[in-house]
Amino acid sequence: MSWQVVARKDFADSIRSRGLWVASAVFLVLFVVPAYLVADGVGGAVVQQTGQQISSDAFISLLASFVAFLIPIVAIVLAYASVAGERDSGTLKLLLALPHSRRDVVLGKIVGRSAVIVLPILLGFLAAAIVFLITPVSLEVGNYVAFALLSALLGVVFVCLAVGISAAARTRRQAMLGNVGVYVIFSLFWGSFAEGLVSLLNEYTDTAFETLVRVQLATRLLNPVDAYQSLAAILWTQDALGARLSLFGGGLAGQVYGQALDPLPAYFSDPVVAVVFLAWLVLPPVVGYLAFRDADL
Amino acid sequence: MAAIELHGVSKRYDDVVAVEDLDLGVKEGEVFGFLGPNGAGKSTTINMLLDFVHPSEGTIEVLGYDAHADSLRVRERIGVLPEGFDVYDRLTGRKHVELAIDSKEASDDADALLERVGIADAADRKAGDYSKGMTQRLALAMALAGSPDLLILDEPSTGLDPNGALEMREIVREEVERGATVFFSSHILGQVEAVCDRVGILREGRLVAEDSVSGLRKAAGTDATLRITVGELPSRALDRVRALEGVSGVEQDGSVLRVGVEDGSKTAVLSTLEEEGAEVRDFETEEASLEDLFRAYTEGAA
Repeated sequence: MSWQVVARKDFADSIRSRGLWVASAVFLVLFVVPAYLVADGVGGAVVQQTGQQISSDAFISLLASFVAFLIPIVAIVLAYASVAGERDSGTLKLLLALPHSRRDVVLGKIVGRSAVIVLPILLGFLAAAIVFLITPVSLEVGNYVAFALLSALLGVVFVCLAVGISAAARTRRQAMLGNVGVYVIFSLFWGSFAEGLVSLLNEYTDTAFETLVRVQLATRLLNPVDAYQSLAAILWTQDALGARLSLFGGGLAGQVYGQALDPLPAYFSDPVVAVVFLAWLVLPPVVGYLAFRDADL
Repeated sequence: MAAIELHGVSKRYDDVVAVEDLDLGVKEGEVFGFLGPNGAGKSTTINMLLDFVHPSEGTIEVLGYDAHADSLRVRERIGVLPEGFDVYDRLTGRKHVELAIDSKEASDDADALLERVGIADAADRKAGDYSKGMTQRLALAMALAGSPDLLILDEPSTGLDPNGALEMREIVREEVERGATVFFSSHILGQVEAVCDRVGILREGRLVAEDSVSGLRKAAGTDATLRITVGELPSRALDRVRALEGVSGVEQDGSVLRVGVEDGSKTAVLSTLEEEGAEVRDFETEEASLEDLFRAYTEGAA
């Protein structure tokens, strides 16, 4: 099991490079501080006014969009150089002189770097849970654990993306540009892109409004960040339709979109969105590996 | 079975030819020296053996396996000291050797291997703090893990002091006694001469010669260069020197003559010049360089 050797080496290297510790510090601070604010500020006020405790579901619904922004950045910083950096410096020659296939190098890197991001994420959630246990916020354990695991999965998805790009890149610099590009597209521009696509369709074809809304939603869900948010929303919305609509915000627009999507087609159901989200675990590493397999080092 | 066998191997990058139509055979149990100046294509050839780069044409077999399709099998049974590698700066020397042992599923003792290459006292230091020579020793320790059937060493004495180079050769001898085949590249004639059974000489991507070391010695010996500074030089003098037995070539560059000459004919060259009225101001014998060796082989063949 040669990928295990690569993964162990990679994880040991991350500990030495302090990547694991920095990521842990980031998630500890950035999860515990909002948890405390929710518990102390909002929680206290609600208890005073209504005599009822607020639940940790309020925390996760607040945290979701923040996590969707933070975790991809941390994953990319941890993993963008995983393969291309070794190729640039020449350590890859030392590694590939040993009996490891290039597939096992890619796989080992994914497993190693995933461990480096998953452990800090879970540690951050654990610390935030402790805050809720000692403050007047009721901890909805099931939802809370599900959200923590889904968020960890988002970390792994972006590690897979970053390692895939890193494997396909010829230099560290290329890997960095590729990863930054992916982050900018998925985290900043994807919503506008989906909107632009739909307004073009609207302008140059006579597509029905219902279809336009579906195209827009489908486009949004192809983005792993949006798919994550729409899956997380299941935890605090009433049904799948509500979870999908959370991408478009509330208000009038939400109502109009909701009517257009009701009843929700099967291809927007939770399991389908989950499958699309999980496809990101596979697709980038496979494409990256194929380019890496045939490359001259 | 041959340890290494190349047939018609070429490697082109865009329009640059790195290796052209290379045929090479290394027998089991021998020490094969792969000699050539920097940029001759030695590392490209070795990188093709390791499947780091893929040949444009030709077939490569290592230990009977196809170097590309069965690369993993190949790398399970070889030890490699690559060229242009770097160590993991943050991992200790011992961790590096343990990585090699784990990767090869071997049972060696990491400390014993570090001891053997002479860096046992640095085992717990980060490899990023090692000198170039120590990194080279560390990579050799990694190569030795798992008692490989074939050692491929690319410019192994890079960064080593003369004593280190000597220890490196000693280890090569021990490995051959154990039954391993050793293939190593160098741009320094003396190193190849000291330890190899046979040599292949590469120049500008082509194999110029494949010979035994005694053949190499002979070629190097026959083609020492006599460098003579002359004053007056009648034209007849050069013609007579060219005609001498044992003289393989004469080049004139202003007042400097460079005469390729066999050991026994040096005096004849000098006396002939003087007989013809040339004024010999100074002379010296240059040690056979790689360039001289190329000339010896290429002109010998012509």
